[in-house]
Amino acid sequence: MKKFMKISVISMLLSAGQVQAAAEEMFNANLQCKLRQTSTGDVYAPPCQFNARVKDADANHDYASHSMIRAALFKTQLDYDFVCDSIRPLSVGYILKAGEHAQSNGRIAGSKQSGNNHLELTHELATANLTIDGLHGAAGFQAIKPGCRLVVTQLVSYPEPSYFNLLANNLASYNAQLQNLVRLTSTSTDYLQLITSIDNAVAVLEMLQFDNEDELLLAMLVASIDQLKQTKQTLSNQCGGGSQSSYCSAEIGRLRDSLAASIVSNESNIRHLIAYLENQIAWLNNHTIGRDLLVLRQAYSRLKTLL
Amino acid sequence: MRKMFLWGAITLPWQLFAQQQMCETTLQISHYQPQSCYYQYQQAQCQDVCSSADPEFNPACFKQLALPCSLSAELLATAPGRQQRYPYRWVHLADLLAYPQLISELHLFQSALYAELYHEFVRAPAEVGFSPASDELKKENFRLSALTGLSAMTDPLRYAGLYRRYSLGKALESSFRNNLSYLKSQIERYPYYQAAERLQLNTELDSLANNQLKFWQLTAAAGLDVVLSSRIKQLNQRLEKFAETVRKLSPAHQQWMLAKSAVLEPFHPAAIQSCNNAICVSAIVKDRQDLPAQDGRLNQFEKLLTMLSNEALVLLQAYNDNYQPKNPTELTRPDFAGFVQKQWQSYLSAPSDTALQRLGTAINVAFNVQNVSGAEVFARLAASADESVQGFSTLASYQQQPVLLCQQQRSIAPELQQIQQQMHQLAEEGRSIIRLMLKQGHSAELLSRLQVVMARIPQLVARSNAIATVDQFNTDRTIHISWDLQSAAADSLSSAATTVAIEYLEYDGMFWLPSMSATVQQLIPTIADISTMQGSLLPAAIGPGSPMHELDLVIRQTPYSGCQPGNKELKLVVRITDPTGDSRRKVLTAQLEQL
Repeated sequence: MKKFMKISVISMLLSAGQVQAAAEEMFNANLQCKLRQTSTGDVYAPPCQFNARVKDADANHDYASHSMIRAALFKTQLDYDFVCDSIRPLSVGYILKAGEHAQSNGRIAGSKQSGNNHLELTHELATANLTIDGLHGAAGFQAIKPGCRLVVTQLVSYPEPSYFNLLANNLASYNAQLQNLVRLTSTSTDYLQLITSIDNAVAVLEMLQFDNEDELLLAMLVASIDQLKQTKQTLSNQCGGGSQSSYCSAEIGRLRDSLAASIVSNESNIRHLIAYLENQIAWLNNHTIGRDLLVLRQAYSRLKTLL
Repeated sequence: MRKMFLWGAITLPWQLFAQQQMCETTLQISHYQPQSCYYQYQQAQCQDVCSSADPEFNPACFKQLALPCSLSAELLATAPGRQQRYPYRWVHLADLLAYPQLISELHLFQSALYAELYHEFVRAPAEVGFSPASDELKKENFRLSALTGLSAMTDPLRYAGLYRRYSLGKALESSFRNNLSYLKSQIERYPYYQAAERLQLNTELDSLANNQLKFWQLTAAAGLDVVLSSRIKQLNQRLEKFAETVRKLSPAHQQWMLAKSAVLEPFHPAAIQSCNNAICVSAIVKDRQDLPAQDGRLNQFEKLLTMLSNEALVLLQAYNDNYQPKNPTELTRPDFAGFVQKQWQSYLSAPSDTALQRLGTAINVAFNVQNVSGAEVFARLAASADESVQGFSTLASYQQQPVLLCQQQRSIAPELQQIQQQMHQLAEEGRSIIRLMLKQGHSAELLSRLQVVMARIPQLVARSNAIATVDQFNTDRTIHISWDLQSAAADSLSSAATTVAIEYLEYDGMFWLPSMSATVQQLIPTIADISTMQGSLLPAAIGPGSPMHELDLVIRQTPYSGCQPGNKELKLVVRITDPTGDSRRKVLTAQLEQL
């Protein structure tokens, strides 16, 4: 019921029409270089005005506070279109950066035909950003046809699919292992018959205490009862793991307790990852990340069948 | 399932929600094992045995509570302990206790204040999910609980066989068969099991039951005549043992035990009495005229004899002149004065009826004064009861400790006793002023009278702390109370499957009602057990009736609570329902007089 509600809230948001992240123009020769009218038509030439620009990647940080998410890998995808027809090659310097340790830099060159280009960066949980820090080939003899512009169509960070797929598989197979261990950690019928025999013996000895006048025999009875009860204690401990039974040896009780605790933590991780992926997938529906979304969906449904 | 909320005379609880629509809500409750968790909680040892319970298979771990519909819906949608397994949906009790709007509810005060005073209780909501690993754990727990349930079912028969209770065993036998087939029907319905697993568990149960019932099978085969002769011989020996213990007691204690033994009279006349400055017993003789009737009488006789023997042993082993007084500074005790004072201060800083009720409850809890709201509820229930039954109570030692008898405590520290007496009067006075204030308003005159009482309490407590040389707060005794629930009209042993449900319980200055969210033991942790021969009524305060129609209650006591003048009576209202659905309400009381 609760899960239903959550999904319907998300679909309501979707049907209300979330705005697609707007494409952003990072360079436009028409606006930034100097117009020259020639016999063959307008061209643009240096000097070009160029200011370094920074753009933050689109990201969804909901449910990201869990340690499992904070330790995960993320991927930032840059999609751009740089159409440019010029006499000499024109390129733009970029730095794609996320956190302290992940950075990719280089130059992207204009192409005569419009088309989507693609750059990726894998990194830890951090806000990624793109810096366009210089224009190369815009000095000296240069002529640029009108319409030369660099547009960033998408800059988006999301969970690294193969990492998250692996994480989901590990949580699932850990759950299966726990299931198997729980099955093995049980008391046998023979063991229970043994307890029954002890109970029967203790009950008889207890009754004999009333029936007896011999002080020495009474002392022996009391000693035997104590001994049997103590021996039985090693066989009848709290079973742990949410059971009200005490038909377990101490070792089995402890093992079951530890298994139950592992199950709780495993399930809590699964529950958290489900919530996180559910939220990411809904959000990523408005982005174009191709097969990556499919992989994330698989990871999600792998977990979803568990709970 | 919806009903309008009309509490009638009980106006205190739920006043926030009066007139709202109520919805029945399923609450999962906690039941800690071992028992010591209710007075000495240790995270590592205490298990909530209801944590992975399912409403269909562990109904004792759940209770229905009428909550305002809006609250119920909110809890089911958002509470951290919510769970579901179609068609069941439930929340955990801890969710309710954590709900801020309910904190001022009367019974939550009682519970919270008791816990505050005795610092002993921690709750953690259950967290169990539905992954394959959890399902496996549930399956294994189901098996373990079926096996444990089986031994609970066979136990009364095991002892019936061993102690030669022939007719009782016969009555228990048919209820055992019903219970076993019910258990097997549950196995059939258990959704996590496959056919092979069902078969395996059934086989396992049968072979265990066979072993557990060995004694009973031998006894049953012998026939009433033989078994009864053997039983009479055995009981005569036990009676003689009891007499021997009584002979070793001081004359005053002998008199006490002899007077108490009058309770045996209806079942075996003149069992034990004083004759020519000695203690004589008259042996039981086989009644050839009516063997079954005699066998029936001996059930009750045996039970009462056991209780009396336990008390005689307590008196034999009690501290006599051998109690070593302690230095007052070495004794640990709850901070009564600070505890009550805190509620008084919070009333003064923001006077309201709620704050005043909190103060009143704090006084009840600290000084074990009878609860006024409880008394009103009790009077109403008692008015509609079919019958009143007086219970029989005896002392027993707790974990083989020597008991500090009240008379001994009085003689070691006579002034302490006086202070306790004064404290009790003061608490009664404070309570009656608070009652007037709630009825007539918080007038300056009443307030100044209350002020006098509140100023006197810390003085008395300080004085008592300074002179106390006895350890009053060490649990050293248990009180066993037994009621005979058999209606005069009904006939001796029966194997009809009755249920006994508690409708009201009052002790230790607090009272419990089924509509309260806390369980009996959470509210009144000194209750060690409420049971019949067939099983316990804890945690949900409902359980199976027994062929002997008895109800037994065990309370742990410290010298403080045992010798407290306001704590000498325990009241209980129960409803007994027979298989046809007919029910009778009984008022059960017990005087807890002790030496």
